[in-house]
Amino acid sequence: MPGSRLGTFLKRFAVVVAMLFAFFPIYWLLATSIKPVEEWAAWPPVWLTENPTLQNYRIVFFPEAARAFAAEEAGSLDYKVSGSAWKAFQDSAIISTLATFLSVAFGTLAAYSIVRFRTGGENYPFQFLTVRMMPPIAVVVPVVALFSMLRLADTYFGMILAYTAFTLPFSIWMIRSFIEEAPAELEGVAMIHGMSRLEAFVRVTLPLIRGGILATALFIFILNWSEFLFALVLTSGHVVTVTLQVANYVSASSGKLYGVQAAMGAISTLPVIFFGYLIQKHLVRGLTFGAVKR
Amino acid sequence: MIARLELRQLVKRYAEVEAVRAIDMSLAPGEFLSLLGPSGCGKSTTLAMIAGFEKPSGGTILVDGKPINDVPPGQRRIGMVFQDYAVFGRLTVLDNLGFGLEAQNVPRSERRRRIAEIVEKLELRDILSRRGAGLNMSEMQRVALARVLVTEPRLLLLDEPMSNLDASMRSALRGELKLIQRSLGQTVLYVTHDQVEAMSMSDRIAVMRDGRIEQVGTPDEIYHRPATRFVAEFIGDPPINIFACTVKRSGNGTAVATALHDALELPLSDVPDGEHSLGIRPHDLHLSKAPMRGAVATTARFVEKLGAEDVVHVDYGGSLAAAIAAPGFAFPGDRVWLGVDGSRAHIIRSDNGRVATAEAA
Amino acid sequence: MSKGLSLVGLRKTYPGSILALDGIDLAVGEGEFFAILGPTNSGKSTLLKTIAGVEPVDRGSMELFGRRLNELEPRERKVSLLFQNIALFPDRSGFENIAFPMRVAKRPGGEIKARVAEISALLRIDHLLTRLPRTFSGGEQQRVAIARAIVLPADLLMLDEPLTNLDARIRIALRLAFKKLHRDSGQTLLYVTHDQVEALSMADRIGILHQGRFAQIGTPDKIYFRPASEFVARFIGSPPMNILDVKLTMEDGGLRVRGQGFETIMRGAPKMALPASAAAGIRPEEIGVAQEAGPETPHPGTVVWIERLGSHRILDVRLGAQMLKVRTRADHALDREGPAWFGFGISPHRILDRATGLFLAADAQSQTFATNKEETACV
Repeated sequence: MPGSRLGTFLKRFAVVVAMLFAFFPIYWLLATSIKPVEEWAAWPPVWLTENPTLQNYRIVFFPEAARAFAAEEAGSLDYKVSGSAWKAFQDSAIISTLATFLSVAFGTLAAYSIVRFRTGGENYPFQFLTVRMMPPIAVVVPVVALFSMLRLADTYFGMILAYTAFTLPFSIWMIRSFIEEAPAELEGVAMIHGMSRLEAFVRVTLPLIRGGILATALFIFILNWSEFLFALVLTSGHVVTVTLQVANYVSASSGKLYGVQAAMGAISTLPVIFFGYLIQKHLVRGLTFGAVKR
Repeated sequence: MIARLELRQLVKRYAEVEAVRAIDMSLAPGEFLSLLGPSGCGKSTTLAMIAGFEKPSGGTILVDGKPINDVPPGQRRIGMVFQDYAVFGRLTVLDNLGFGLEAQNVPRSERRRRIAEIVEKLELRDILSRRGAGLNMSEMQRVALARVLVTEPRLLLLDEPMSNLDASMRSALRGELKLIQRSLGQTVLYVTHDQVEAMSMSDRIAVMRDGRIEQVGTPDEIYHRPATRFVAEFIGDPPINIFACTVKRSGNGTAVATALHDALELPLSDVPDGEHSLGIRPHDLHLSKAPMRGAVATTARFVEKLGAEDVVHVDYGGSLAAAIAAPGFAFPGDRVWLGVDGSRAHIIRSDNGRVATAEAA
Repeated sequence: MSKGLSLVGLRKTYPGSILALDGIDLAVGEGEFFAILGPTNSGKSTLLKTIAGVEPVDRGSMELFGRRLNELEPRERKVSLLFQNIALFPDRSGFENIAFPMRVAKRPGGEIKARVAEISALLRIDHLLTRLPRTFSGGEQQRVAIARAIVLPADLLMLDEPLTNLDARIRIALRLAFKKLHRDSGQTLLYVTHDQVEALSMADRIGILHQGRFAQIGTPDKIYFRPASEFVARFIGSPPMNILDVKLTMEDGGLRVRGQGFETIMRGAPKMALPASAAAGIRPEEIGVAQEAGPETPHPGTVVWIERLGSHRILDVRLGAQMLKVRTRADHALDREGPAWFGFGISPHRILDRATGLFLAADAQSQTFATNKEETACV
C-alpha cells in the first residue's frame, strides 16, 4: 500500500537524520585527529583532509615528537605536554577501574540490603540519588578543603575514594532495580535446601543479575573515565587523568592544540569501547525469564 | 433490536497456523450460547472476528442475514464485555454509563432516556454517583453490562468475564447474569474455558477444539450424550472414566466386555466389532456395600471428599475407576460392589474418536 | 497421634503494620496431610514462609518433631517448601533445578542421577531435564518445582497452591497423584490452597484460615457438615450453605424454629440459651424438592432458575422473601422453573447466633486442634 510505503520511507529518513546527528562529533574527532596543524581551525572547515598525518598521535605518545613539534610550530608548548600521555592513561586506568570496582561492590551490597531487608525504609534509595542532584561544582569547594586537610589531595587513594563516593548512588539505584527483578523466592529455595543467605545471594541471585551489574559497571566506568571537574581541582600535577591531559594540550602561541586534543580524545575512547565490547554479551536482559509463574 | 447471528465456513489463518477452521454456527434471537474449550482452541479468535477486531481469512459473518465482514467494529452494533468487566474505577457509575454513548455521539436527550431506562432495568439507581473502584463484583457486573446495553447492541459478546474471580463470586454472578439476559431477551455469545459457567447459563454450548466445533448442544446433551471422546473427557468433574473394552454385536444389542465387567448390555449401535473404549461418568457407576445383580466386587483405594458427595476410586482391573457415593460411604480398603448403568455408558470408537450413536431399531 | 509440627501463638506483622498472622495455634501429626484453606490474603503463604524460616516471625514458637525451629536457619530446619510462584532457577536446566537440593547436600553424582530420573519418571517430566525453565509450559514449571521440593526427604513438606492455574484435567489428575505420593511416602504435609475441592478431597484435616487466624480446624466431614462459624459455612460448599434468618422459641414439644416461609419443630433439642437473633444453616443438598406437597416437602416456594451442571442441578429458589440454593441430582423429576414444594430438617448444631457469628453447640474441640484418633483416621 502506498500509505505504508511513505511511512516506511519517513521512518528510515528519521533514523538517518538521528544517526548523522549522533555520529557527527565522532566523525569530527577522528577527522581532526589526522589533520595537519593549519587545518585544525581553518575556515571554511576542512571536512576531510587531503594531507592526512599521524603527527598528532605521535605527539600524544612520544615526548620527542612533542618537543620537536613545540620547537618548530607552537613555540612554547606547556611542560606537561612535553611529557607523554602514557602516564595519564595509566593514572586514569588505575583510578577508574578501582573506583568502579569499589562502587559496584558496595552498591551491590547496599542495594541487596535495601531490597531484601527494606533497610532505611521506602525512600532510602531515592534519598541516595538526591545527593547527586546537586551540581558537582556546588560540592567542590568543601571537598577540596576536606581533601587537603586529610592530605588526600593529588593522591591515587584520594581520587579513588572521591570517585567511589560520587558514583555510589548511581550504583545503588541501578543495581537495586536488578535485584528487585530477581525473585526472593529463589533465595528462599536455596536457603531451605541448605545454603546460607550469603551463599544463596552469591550463587543464586548474583549469576542472575550479572548482566545488570556489568551494565552498571560500564556506566560507572564511563562516568569515572570522563570525569573532569574533580580531577581538575583535586590534583596538582602528581596525578594526571586522561581528561586533564586533553585539557593540557594548549600552547601559549597557538592556543588550543585541536588536532592533538582530538588524537588524545580518539585514543581515550578506545578503552571504553573495548570494555563495552567485552561485556556486550552479558548486557542481554531477560535472564530472569522463567523463574517465576506469571 | 435483538438479532440472529450466523457464521458460515468462518476461517482465520495466522501465517502457518489455522486458528479457526471453517466454523458453521448460528445463534437464534434471544439465545445464550457459550463457546467452550481449552485455551488455544480458537474461541477467542472467533469472538474477535465477530466483534471486528480480527479480519476473517475466509467465510462470512451474518447478522440478521446481512454479511458484516466489511463493517468496521464501531458500526456493527455489537456490544462487548471484557475480562474482569473493566469498569472505569475513577469515573462514577453514571459517567461509566455515558461513556459509550458519548463515544458514539448520541444526542444528550437520547442519552438521558437510554441511561434512565437501563438504570431502571438493572437497578442501578442507588449506586449512580459511586465511583467504579468502590463497587462490589455484583455491582460491577451490572455496570459493565449496563454500559454496553445503553448502546443498544444487537448482539452481546462476553469474553471470559469471570475468569479471575473466586468460585463463590462466580456462582453468584452466574445467576445474576442469566436473569438479566433472560429478562432483556438479549442474544449473548459467551466465551469461556470454564465448563460450569457454560453449563449453568447457556441455552446451548459449542465445544471447540483446535479451531473446530466438536459438538453443539444443550448442556444436558453435551454432558449426557457427548459426540466425541474429547467432549466426553472435557466435560464433567470428576472426569469421565475411560476403560478399554471389546465390543461384539449380539442379536438386537451390543455386548461390551471390560477388564472388570465381562458382559455389559448396551443398545445396538453403529460401532464395528473389536477393541474400543468405554466411557462412563462417575455418577453413572453405582457402589453398594453388598452384592447386587450385575455388580462386580472390587476394593476402594482412595476417597476424595467433595462435601456434598465423595468420589471413591476403586480398583478396575489394573487401573482405577471413579464412582460417586454419599459422604462417608466407603473408606480405603473397603470391599465394595460396582454396578454400571449400561444405558448411560458410551462406546468411543477407536477408529475416529467419535461416540457410537444408537442405531434406529 | 505422634507429634509432628506444633505452632503456638504465632504472630507476624509486615512493615506498615499489616497483620499477617494473628495468633496461630496448630498441631499437625506425623505423616498427616494437613490442608490450610483460606481466601486470598488470609495469611496462608506467610505461614508457610515463617515455618520455613525465610520470613521472620514476631512472636510465638514453632516446633518440628520436638526441635524448636525459631532460632534455626532455614537450612537447619529440615523442611521443604514449594513456593506459590514456583521459583525455578532460570539459568539452570530442568535437571539441575531438580538436583539442586542434592547438589547443595553434596550427594554423589550417581545418586543424584538416579534419584532425579526416578522423580521425573513419576511426574512425567523426563523431556524437560535438559531444557531451561523459560521453555516450560505453566504445568511443566509446576511439576519441575514439585520434583525439586520432594527430591530429598524432609521432616515437613509444604506446598503453596501447587495446583493453582493448572488446566482442570491436570489438576484433577495431580490431586490423585499427590494423594498417592503422600500415602506411599508417609510424609508430613502442609498444603496451602484456596480451592475447597483440593482441601476436602486430599487432606486428613483442614484448617480454615481467615484474617491471620484459624476459624476452624477439623476433618473434611467436620468442616463441611459441622462448620463452627458463618464464615466457614459460607466459605465451604458449592454453592455455599444457605443461612436463613429464624426465630426460636422453646416449647413443650421441642424447639420451634420459625423462618420466612417455613416452620419446624426440633424435637429432643437440648436445653440451651436461645440467641436473640438467630439463623439456620442448611446445605443445598439437604433440601428436599417435589412438585407436590407432601410430608417431606411441606413448604411452598418458587424455582426461579435451574442451573444444569451435568451431574447435578442447582436451583435458585424463592421461599418467602428470601432466596436459597437447592442441589438436586441430574435425574430429579423436577425439571421446570415455577412453583414447587420444599422440605428440610434443622439440627441443633446448625443454629447460628447472629451476634457472635458462631453456630450453637459447635463442637468446642473443632475450634482448637484435634488430638483424637477418630478425626485423622478417616483417609
